[in-house]
Amino acid sequence: MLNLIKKNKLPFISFLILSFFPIFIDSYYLSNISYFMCWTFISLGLALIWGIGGVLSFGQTVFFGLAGYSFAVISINFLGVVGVGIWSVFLALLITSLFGLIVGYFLFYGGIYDVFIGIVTLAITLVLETFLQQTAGPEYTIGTARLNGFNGMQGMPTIGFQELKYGRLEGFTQYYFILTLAILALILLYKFKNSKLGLIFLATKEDRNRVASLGYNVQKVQLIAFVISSLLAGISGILYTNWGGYITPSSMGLVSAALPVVWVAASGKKDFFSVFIGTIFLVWLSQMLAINGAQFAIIAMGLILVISTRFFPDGIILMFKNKLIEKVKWLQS
Amino acid sequence: MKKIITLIITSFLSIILFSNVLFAETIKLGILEDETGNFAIAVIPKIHAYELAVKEINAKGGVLGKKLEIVRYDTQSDNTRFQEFARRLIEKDKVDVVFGAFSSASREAIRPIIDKAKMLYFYNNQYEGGVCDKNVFVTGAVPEQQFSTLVPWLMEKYGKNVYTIAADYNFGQISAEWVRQIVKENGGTMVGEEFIPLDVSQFSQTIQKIQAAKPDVLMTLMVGAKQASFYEQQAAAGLGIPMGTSVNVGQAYEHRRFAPPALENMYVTVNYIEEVHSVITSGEYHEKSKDFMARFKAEYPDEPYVNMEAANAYNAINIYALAVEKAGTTEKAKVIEALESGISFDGPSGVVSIDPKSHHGSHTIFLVEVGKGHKVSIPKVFKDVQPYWLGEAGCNLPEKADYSQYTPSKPPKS
Amino acid sequence: MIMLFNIVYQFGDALSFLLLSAIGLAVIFGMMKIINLAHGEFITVGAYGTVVSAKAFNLPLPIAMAFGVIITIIFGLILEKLIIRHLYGRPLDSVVATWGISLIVSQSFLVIFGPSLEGLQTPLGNFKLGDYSYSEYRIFLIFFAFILLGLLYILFMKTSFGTLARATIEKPEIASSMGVNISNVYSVTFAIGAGLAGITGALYAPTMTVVPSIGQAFIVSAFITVVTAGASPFIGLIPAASFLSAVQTSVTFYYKATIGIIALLFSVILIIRFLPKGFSGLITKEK
Repeated sequence: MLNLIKKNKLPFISFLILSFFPIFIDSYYLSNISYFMCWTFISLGLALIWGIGGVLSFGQTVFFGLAGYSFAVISINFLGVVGVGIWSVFLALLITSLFGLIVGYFLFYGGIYDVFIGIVTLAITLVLETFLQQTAGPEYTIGTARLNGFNGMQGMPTIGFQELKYGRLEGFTQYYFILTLAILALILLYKFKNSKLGLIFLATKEDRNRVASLGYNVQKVQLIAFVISSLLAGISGILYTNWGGYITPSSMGLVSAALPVVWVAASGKKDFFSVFIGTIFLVWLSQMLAINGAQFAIIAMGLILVISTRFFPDGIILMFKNKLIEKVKWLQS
Repeated sequence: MKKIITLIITSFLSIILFSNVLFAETIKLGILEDETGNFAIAVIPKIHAYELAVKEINAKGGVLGKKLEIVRYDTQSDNTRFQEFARRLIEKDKVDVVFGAFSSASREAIRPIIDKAKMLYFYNNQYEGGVCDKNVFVTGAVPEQQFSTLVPWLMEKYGKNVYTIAADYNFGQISAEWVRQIVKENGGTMVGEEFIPLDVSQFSQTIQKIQAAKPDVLMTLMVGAKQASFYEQQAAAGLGIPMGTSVNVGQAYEHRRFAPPALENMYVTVNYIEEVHSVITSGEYHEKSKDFMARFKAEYPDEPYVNMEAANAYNAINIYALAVEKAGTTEKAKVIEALESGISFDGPSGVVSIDPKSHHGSHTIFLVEVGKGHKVSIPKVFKDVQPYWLGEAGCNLPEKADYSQYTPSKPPKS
Repeated sequence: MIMLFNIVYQFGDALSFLLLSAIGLAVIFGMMKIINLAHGEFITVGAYGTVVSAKAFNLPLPIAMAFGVIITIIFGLILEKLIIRHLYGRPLDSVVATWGISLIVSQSFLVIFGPSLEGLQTPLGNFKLGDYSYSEYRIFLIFFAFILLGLLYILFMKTSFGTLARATIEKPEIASSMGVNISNVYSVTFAIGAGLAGITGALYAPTMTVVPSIGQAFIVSAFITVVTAGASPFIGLIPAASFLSAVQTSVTFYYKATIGIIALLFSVILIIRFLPKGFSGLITKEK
């Protein structure tokens, strides 16, 4: 553990700061930062498959949405049953990773590569979006939960122990829960990256055939990574649904699908920590610009993206991180 | 030591007291509207109407001696922005009331947040109807006001065979359900119905399907800029069937933006448009609309069009002000009580009264005809049309708090 | 007889929409491998160039359209010089840059021109067959799409410039060592792609609501058509677009438009799975 901290002083310090944040900020900023952190998991999942394995999925939002909808449908159906706010989450994640398994199997065992993976995953997320948009009618009811079409679902319980005072994911509990989960995800992702499986996955990016000829099961490794990434996207989806008490088909649309790709690429897809910080930073930035910039907000956001890829091809956050570590001797391990 | 502590405590208390006095001077109105993005075109006049109403009320000395203050964010036609900023208005800016949202999806995105915080919220848009929510008041028109006037009139004039094309989502599907029901009640036949996804922008196939069914009346419940391309394409193909709608003209002024004959032979029911006083040359509606437009143009001379949602926004601020005045406080529960006691405001198109049971407003409905060269006329005016459906179906908010949206096929359980 | 004509008309209409959506992207993405998320905005530039010049200078429509296309070419050249040329060889990064460009362009149009432009009228008239009437301009679009594609095929497959362009993009180092000014070839090829997207915008401008987001109506169709067309887009585009529009129009005819779109997307997934080289691979037999 100490060794881990020694090697990663910057992440450690960042998380230390994040964990003391709630003392200094009011409930609004607390829930707002929780909201920013909700989005980090889908980015981390994409960084895993894209940054390490070179698999660019343009449709991670399908897992985001599927998890959100599954959670909503299950929890609404069993409203009032003991512990529904806990086990419905696990069930939703199970459904999501099963779907990830099916999609991943289709992709990797079907011999689909490169940009085609992007198009297929995009098509899948658009299919689900298009289908759900038109489910406003009463015939689209699962148990007691209406899918409610384009306008989206609401009325799900808050995640957690409904009976306990601080047992639900809101306010402080929500903040610390998401933070802990993010730390855990980062540690596990680093472990995966440095494991044998992770190294094989990294090698598949460079040359699939050579890795296969060395006797490794390329497809299996890719599939495992893909399922993990779908699970992470699902976590984002559930946390987002819980945060706003609401999930809609547009969270699986073209614009939503492009966002994680943009976040990951602009932050630095090869480094999980940069992706974590970068996602928070970019979501915050676009919100700030919307508040202060009025109609120039979107233009400013676009300029930042263009400039950062033009001049910082490895990602702007990763570049800053490396600069910082270079300048501050103490941060070096 | 003791002295210092007392000093600290007293100064602290006085700061609290003083700041209370300082901040209590204004009534904060939170506004969430899409200044940019897909819906901007219909929403910008709405934003100006809020500002106009606030300016006028403040010029008269405000409400309960306090000035009104707007806290507004641009929601960029994006549902997640609505959620972010609804929280910001409630938790950070601590507003007294929230106004806004254009699309139904954005309204539904913030309703859970509004209800959780027990915030008071005004939705000021025509929509598919059915929101029965203790904290929500609606000043826009609903299907029973727009369709029960328009559809029978069109059937009488042109014939009983009706074809509906509608956007394939909540608004279109529920509106189509209303049309179907009203056509049936009036002894007509639905010769066809087609639902079209919001992303579709090419309509040759749809136009041919319509021609195959030979309807007398075509109801076009099309939403958004992509679907609006239907009108140019049907004109180019020479479809030539009288059209009825509840969405076009009154929101995004297609009759001004599109080259004729795209919208010729189109009928629409609205609760206000800026042509009201130039078409109706005398009487109550002429005077009120003329007066409103004069004030609006004095403030925003470059406004391309003042639509019905602008009138709804203007009414909403005034209705809220009247309710606060009546309640004698901005405390939400008291203001809701005042609103439920039957508040009326005499606005740009006549009196709007809030129905206590459903929290929706009554309206004057103008049946607008877009004729040759997109010339606007108003063949009929329906006075004081009530939002009757929710109340009849069992929504009774003063008696029974509720937080749901209902549809004709899924009414409230009584 | 009329029924048959209707089927051909509907199918041809959907086909020309897919072809014209895809035609600029076939060069920029299909050949140059730049994932151009701003493709829709190139179309927007063409549409705005056409409508604005038609209104401002009272130009006849064909000249306004030419004007719109020229503006798009200039726009494409500037973008290529400033940004795109730094992204050759890292196609996945082009996602972020072109997404940024697309945000900037569509929002700038909103700021400059307001939420919507006053529309143009569709040129040509309409004619009747039995109970049905048809827009002549739509039929013109079908023919135009095919002619444009034919010209493009000749340009890239039969001229020396075409050979040069394909060689440069395939093996830039070798082309460079043979004395080819590869940077110029890239610029010109990109400008052609931009100009083609501009043509699409100019052609559809009079038939659609001209709003800053007009180009987004084309983007999904464009990508799926180019991807299913395969490695030689100019050979694969027509079979790919024919197949996709046949699926979409027939499903839409029997069920409804939403199911038509879902079927379209599903067939794209299946084509990629079972025809990994796309339709052009099927034709050139390089499986």
